[in-house]
Amino acid sequence: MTAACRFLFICRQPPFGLGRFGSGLDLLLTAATFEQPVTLVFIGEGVMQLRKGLDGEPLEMKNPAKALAALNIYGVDSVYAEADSLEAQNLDTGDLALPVTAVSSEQISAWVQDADHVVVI
Amino acid sequence: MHFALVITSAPYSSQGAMSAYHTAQAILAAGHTLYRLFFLDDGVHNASSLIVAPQDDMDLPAAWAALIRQHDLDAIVCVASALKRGILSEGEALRYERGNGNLLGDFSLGGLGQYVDACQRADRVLSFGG
Repeated sequence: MTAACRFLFICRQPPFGLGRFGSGLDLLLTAATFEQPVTLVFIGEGVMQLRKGLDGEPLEMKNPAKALAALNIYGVDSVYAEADSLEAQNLDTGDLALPVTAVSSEQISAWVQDADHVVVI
Repeated sequence: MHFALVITSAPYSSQGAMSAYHTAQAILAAGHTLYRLFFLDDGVHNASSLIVAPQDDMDLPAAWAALIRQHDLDAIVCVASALKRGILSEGEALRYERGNGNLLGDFSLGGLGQYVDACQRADRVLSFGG
């Protein structure tokens, strides 16, 4: 049996930027399907992906909340946001579209050291 | 050691794809195993048969193809990324009625499961973005 690979996904991009967020989440869900340990962290402007009430319709783009809703379905519940980034964006965990735990940047650094594979999305 | 490379950088758009190619060469020259090359997002452009490199520039897709052939490498192009960017095998071109395919024959279409598999099996996974 092959060893599990501990994945850490770090989202730094704001919503509607047409970056790697969508394909990154696809990879995250694939890893979860393969029963690999997965952690997802939002930092910097990436925390804006989590905001409630985002509306991509005027831009003819998908809402992040729709993709993020799949996390629960796939049993991914290790979702975090950097506390300083939330504060910088004037967000509280209560303003977010899904349950997220605020963590320090030191904790995130520790996870980066500990992970087997880090993916920036 | 067993290595896997993940390439998300298109040729000629940033340094990542070229760095990945040189790293692949170095890994093989040092006697290590290159378990898989996985091309994802804009990295799928490395597998295009339609790129015309300037004469005084390196033809990176052709170089990848030669390296893959020479060492019988497993070079996977993520099908989801490829379809969105117009990199199609003959089969996909037929299916989606897009004329001829343009995927270089030394590459194979695959899925994210093969990325995850590479992460499990390789000792080191190196990512080349940009």
